[in-house]
Amino acid sequence: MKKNIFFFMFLFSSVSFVALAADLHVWQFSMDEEQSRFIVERFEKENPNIKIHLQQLSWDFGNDKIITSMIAGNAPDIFEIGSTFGPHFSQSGVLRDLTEEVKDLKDKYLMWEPVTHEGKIYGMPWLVGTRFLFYNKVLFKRAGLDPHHPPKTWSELLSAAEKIKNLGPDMYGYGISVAEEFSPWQTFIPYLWNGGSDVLSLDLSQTILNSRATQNTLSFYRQLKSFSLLNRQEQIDQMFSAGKVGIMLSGAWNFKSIAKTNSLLEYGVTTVPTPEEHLPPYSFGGGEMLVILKKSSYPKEAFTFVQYLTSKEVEIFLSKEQRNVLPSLKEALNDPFFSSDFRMKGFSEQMRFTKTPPAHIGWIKMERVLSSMIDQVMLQEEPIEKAIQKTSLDIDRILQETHEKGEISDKKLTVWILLLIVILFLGCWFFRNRLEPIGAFSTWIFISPWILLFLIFSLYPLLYAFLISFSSYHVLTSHLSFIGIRNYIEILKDSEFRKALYHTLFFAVGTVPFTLVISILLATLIDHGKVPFKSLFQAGFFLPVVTSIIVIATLFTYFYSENGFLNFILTTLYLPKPDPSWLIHKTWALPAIMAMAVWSSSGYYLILFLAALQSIPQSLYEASRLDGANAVQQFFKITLPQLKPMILFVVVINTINSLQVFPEIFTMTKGGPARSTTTIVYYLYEKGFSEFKMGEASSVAYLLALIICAFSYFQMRLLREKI
Amino acid sequence: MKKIILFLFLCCLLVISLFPLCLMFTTAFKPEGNLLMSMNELFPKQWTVKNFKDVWAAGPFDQYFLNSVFVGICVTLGNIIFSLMVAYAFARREFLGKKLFFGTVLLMMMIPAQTIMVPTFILMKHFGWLNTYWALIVPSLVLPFNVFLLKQYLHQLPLSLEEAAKLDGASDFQILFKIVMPLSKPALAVVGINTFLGAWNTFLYPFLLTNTTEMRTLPVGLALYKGLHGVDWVHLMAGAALSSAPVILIFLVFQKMIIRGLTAGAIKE
Repeated sequence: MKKNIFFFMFLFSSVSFVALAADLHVWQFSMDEEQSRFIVERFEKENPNIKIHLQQLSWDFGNDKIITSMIAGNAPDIFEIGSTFGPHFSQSGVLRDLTEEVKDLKDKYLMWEPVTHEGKIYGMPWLVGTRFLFYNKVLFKRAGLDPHHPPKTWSELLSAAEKIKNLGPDMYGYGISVAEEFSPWQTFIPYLWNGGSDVLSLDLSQTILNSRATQNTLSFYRQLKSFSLLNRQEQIDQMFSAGKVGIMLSGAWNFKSIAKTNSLLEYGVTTVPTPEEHLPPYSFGGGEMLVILKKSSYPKEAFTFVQYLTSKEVEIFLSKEQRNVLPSLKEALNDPFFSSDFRMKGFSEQMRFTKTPPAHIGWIKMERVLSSMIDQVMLQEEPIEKAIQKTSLDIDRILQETHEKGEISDKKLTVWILLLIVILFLGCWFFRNRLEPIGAFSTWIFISPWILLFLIFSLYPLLYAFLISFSSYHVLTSHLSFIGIRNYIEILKDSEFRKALYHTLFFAVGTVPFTLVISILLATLIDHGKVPFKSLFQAGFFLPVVTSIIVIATLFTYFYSENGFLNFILTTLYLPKPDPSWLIHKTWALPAIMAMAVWSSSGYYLILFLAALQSIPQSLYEASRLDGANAVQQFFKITLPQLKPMILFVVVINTINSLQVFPEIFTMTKGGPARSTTTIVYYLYEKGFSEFKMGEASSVAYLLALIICAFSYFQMRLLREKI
Repeated sequence: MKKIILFLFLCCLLVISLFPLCLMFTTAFKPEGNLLMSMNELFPKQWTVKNFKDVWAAGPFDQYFLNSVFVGICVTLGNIIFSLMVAYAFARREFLGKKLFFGTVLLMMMIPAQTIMVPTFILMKHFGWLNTYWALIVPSLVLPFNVFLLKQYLHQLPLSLEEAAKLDGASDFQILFKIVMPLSKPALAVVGINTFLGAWNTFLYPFLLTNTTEMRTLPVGLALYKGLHGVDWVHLMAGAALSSAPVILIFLVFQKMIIRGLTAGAIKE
């Protein structure tokens, strides 16, 4: 009997032991599937009681995913964040305070600032990187410069850039990154720091940008412009690799791409030039942080895994594998690997002199403002002083923004929503048209799929968004408090919103008529023209529609690029081409995207019109032919009036789609250059997912819906009467 | 003479329409290397399939492909059946709150998807549908656009056939599926293509709602590939070509059927 009890106890304990194995969910960006498998397998062998579930995120959209799951309370135990987002997460109160655990590690690792808030530490630096100087040794020799003495000071940099520029018309001394979100400020801020200026004061309470030092730095930067290629970092990297750019400030990802595209390139890497000799050459440092959520059920095990990932072996392993990151562990930098090769050597040298941007929660907005300042000075020739003043004002405004606190849970919100639904239902019931029949049973069966799906997947989310549009809702902390219509007022007052609205309207007005005319014309020509290979044309024009918008946007980024095919065609035909190239040109970026939109959507409406043309009775044409009408007369007198319902439909749908334009902007320009392609939905996306203000984002959405409704209504009225 | 000019004009436009896609496919076959030098060549000097192999080896693309096909087919079938039912009720029946319900259809066409992204995610979590096919399929079973399109179409169908069937004692369902459905073939063809393309190409929701490799769809897999391996044009174009080739093929194969559907079902009064 006793034996049995023991046996059961043994059985029970072993069962509970198995159940105790900790399941850790880890989301990360930096390791690919193969590397993570190797690393996790080793860890699980050493720690059999911990099971790791690793998920890889994409750089472009990873943050959306983390934030959405954070709101839903579905976030992983450990996740990786870029240093830019560090302050947001550390201040939100959702991360586990690791101050005690990392007490002894503080001096051993680099880059704690992004995860430090009010003296407490909320994460571990993992893999780090920086920006440093690349120079082409062959071009140095050709320009009569010493390839063993890269420029150390600003004046040396200027003269070297000038000499290389003079080598030929398609040569550039330096590469200045413009017209995107991150690279322009990341490659400019080292000069700003070394020039003795900074963006924020040490206590992060005010901006100190408006100074003599900033002016000097910017005028140096503008001097550099005359010898430089102005483009996006990606293009500059490619041109450097092709041997067309002499010097650039860029990152370690180039090691791999140069080896791939032009392995014979002779180049060197060194630290950032300073205004005068023997100053510490500071550069921008950034990196990947590992953080643990407060809500994690296995905080101890999670920290064990974080420690494993930041151990010397793993960090060195990853640096060796990827060759574009460095370990955050200082001791690991002494590994012979980092001095074995000129690339890693220069890279790790610069790493010793890095600064991180101010750990302010508004930095994400400030960096956008900074990049925009560089665009203004470099691309639009705005006077330096004016640009600096404007930028300081913007930064001050960001500093003054406050964050409301107060909490309402998801459940309470759901109760509110249900209440609203009941009120809506009662209201509708009360004001129902008493003459209307209730309808047959079968009618309600027919309509039920829509009603069910609408109630669950549309009305609930809509009301949810509606309620938070009247509140300040910080998504990381789920702090929510009702603030009335203040969001709407803020949005309407924001000049950025008005700009976005203007761009969106411009987009719609510029695309809808073109698409309409092209698709009607083509449909009529194909249908009535009796040309051979009719089906070939139908298929050919429809093909762009079949392709995903993300694919199309990628394809056109390639097509529109500096050395892309479009510019090649223009050059061959001796036609002028915009300088800088299409997507980074302030005036041409939006029209270029619009042209793409017309190209990619006309085929769809063409098919709709083809279908509508089939339903026009042939007798009408025959009768008119007897009356002596020609093809043009037939088109205007018969075809157009008969197509009226379809025209109305196409105009309304196309307008709705144009007003919601987003993936194109997101993939191709991210709203740049100098915010000249920000549309409303892109603005909404930024509000919600990079500034974490869901409340304001929701009110933008409702404003947009209002605008769309108004447009559709007037179009229907107008077209019904006119045609 | 006129015809020749017209033909040449159409050919020109066809070239414009197809050129970027050709560029995508030919670039995908270019060897990796100094692309800047070869960017101006439409056709690669050496053809290689290495880029495709690289992309394919980077993840279980066959699984992504199957997921995309499965979700696409389910959503398309659902829309053909359910949207027709709903549109039929709107076009032919009188019932309480008809205007209001149709208003909700219009409303949902006008709301940007980003608005309800976060609440939808929360809802899926409460249903326990995260990382399942349910989350990818159910919310799109009746798309407002399709209801709208079909309703417009049904309005212009003659009533006579349905009335005759009713006199012969056909039930409501029989009328809908035996009489109205065949008559609506052209509109249903448009709905079908439309929905399948939409489902095939959609990115944001599948990305947010799935967590594991087994559940990813093709666009999500591609975006992750792009994120990790950076941008070099040849591989990007190979990935883009891989993800669009299936739909292009499907369209080319069924092209005749689709166009015939458009023309054959035409109503002549």
